[in-house]
Amino acid sequence: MSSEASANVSGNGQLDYNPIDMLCIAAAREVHNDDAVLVGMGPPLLVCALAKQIHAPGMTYVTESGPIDWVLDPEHQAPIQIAEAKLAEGAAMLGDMIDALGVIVMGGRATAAVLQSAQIDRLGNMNTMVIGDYTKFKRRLPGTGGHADSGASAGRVISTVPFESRRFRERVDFRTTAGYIDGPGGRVNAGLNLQGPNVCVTTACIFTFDTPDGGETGSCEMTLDGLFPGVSVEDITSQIPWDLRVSDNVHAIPHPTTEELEMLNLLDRNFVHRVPGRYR
Amino acid sequence: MSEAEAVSRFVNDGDTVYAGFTHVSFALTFEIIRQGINNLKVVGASNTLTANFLALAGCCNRIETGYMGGLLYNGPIGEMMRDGRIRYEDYSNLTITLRFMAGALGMPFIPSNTFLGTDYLTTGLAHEFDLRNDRIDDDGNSHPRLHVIDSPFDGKPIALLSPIQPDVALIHVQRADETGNIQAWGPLADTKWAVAASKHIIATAEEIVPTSVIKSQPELTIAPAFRVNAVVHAPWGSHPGPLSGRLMRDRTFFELVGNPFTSWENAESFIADWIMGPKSRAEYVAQYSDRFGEDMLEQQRVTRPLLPERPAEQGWR
Repeated sequence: MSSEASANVSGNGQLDYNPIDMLCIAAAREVHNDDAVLVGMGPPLLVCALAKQIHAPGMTYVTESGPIDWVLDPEHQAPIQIAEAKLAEGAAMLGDMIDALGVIVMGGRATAAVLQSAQIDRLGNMNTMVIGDYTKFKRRLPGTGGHADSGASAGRVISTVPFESRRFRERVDFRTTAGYIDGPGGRVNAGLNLQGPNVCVTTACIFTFDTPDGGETGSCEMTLDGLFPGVSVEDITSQIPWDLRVSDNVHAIPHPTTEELEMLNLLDRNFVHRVPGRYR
Repeated sequence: MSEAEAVSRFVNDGDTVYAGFTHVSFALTFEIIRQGINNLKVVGASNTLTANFLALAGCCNRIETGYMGGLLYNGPIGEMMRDGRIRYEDYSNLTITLRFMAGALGMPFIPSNTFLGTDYLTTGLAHEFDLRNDRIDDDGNSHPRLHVIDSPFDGKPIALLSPIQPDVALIHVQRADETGNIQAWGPLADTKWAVAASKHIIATAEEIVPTSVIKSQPELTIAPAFRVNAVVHAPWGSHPGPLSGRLMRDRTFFELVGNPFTSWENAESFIADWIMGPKSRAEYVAQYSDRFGEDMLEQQRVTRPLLPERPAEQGWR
C-alpha cells in the first residue's frame, strides 16, 4: 500500500478523517453484499466501490450507461463518471440504458440505489433540478440523469446529502425524485411500489424514515437515527428547518476503521469525489 | 464522404438532431456550426456538451434531455435558459431512451413510472419556455408532454410518454466499412435506440475497415448499411470526449484553451479558434498537435486496450 493511501493518525491517537470521508464510509456500510445497486453520479461511485472492497464483494454494481456487475480495476481507483472507459473493463455485462435503468431499475430488480441529491425534504423527496422557482431559477442544476428513474423503482434508496441547512427543506424546490411524496400511502396512490427502508447519509449524521413498511403506514418523516462522532442531537435539529423527528435511541456511528479509511483514500486518491473545500 | 458533405446533405434548419451520450461526434457538431445551420432541436439522454456548443453558436434553440452536465449554468447557457433563447424540457435518462425506443418501434407512446409523484407532472409539465409549439396536432391543439392514465390492465396510474424520431442521428463510432455498416461498443447508454429511431444516420468513424472485419463480429453492428446515410472517416472525432477502447476524455483541454461555457468571451474565442478555424477534423487535430505537441495528443489514447481473451465464434456445419 502506498504512503499516499495510508490513514493518518492524529495526536490523540484517533484516525484523521473529514466529514465527507465519514459520509462515504457510513453510506458504504448501508450497502449489502446481496444488493444489486444502481450507482448514481458523484460520491455514490466512490461509496459503492468502497462497499465492494470492504464488506460487500458480492454486490452487483450497475451504472446507467450500461456496465453491469462491474469490479474495480487493479489500480483501485473509483470511477469518476457513470460512462467512463474504466467501467468497460471489469464489467460482467456491457449493455445500455435500457438494460441498466430499464430492465434492472424500472423492472424492479435493483434492490437499492445510491443517489446524491442537492436537496431532500421532510418526506424524503429529492431535488437535483433547480434551486428556486423552476423557470425563474436562482441556480439551475444539471437535471436528473437516472435519479428520478431510480427513485421511482429501486427497492430502497440510500441518499447522500452534505449536512448544510439549505439542503434540508420542508418541501424541496423541485421534486425531481419521489421519496414518500406526501406521506403514508403517497407512493401507492401515485402508482409506485413501496420502498425502503430508505436512509439519508450526511456529513454529520444518518436519517431514517418513519415508516415500517416502505411508505404504507407511519408518518414517513425523516428521523434522526445516528450521529457521527462528536456531533450532538442539537447540532442537527438546530439546522433543520422543521420540527425534526428524533429516534428514541439515536445511536453513535462508529469511527471509520483503519481499513475503511485506507481503502477510501486509495480509491479516491486524487480527491475527485471528496473535493477539498467543497464539504465542511 | 467529408464531414462538410455529410452535414450539408443530411442536416437542415429546424431539424431534431440526436447527439450522443457515449459516442459523441464533435467532428459533426463543429461542422454544423461551420455551416451555420439553425433552429435545431437537440435530443438525447445526456447530451451536455453537444447541445451546449450548438446553443452557444446560435445553431440550437431547443433541448430535450435528461441531464446537462454541471457548472454550465452560471455562464451563457444559464443566461439563455433564463431569457428563452433556449427552450427546453427536462426528462430523465431512461425516459428519453424509452421515447427513442417508442420512436424506433413506431409506437404512438410508451409507458413509464419515472415521473409519478414528482413535479414533472406539475410545474415541470408546462413552463414558460417549454416546447408546446412542437406538439401541435393537425387540429391545432398542443398536447401535454405526457399523460397519466390508469392502466387498463391493473388500474394503477402510469405515465405515457411520446415517441421521438430524430431527423438525424450524429454519432462517432469505433469503426465502419465503406458500405455504411457502423460498429460501436463500450457502454452504449441511449445510442442504439436513438440511432434506431432516427430518420437519417450520419456517423464519423475512428477507423474504416474492410467489410470482412465487420462481418467477423456482426454483434457489434449498431446499424446496418441500409439504415446509414453517411460515414465519414474522422479519427479523434470524439475529442475532447472519450471513445471506449480508443480515446480517453481530454481533461485539460478546456483549461488550456479557456472553458467556452464560462463566458461569452471564451465561447466566441473558442468558436473562432477551434470550430471555425479548422475546416475539418483532420485540420483540428493538426492544430491541436501544433499548439500542444504530438505527445499531448497521444496522451489521450487508450494504452492498454482490453482484447477478447477468447473471441465469440460464429459458424455452421
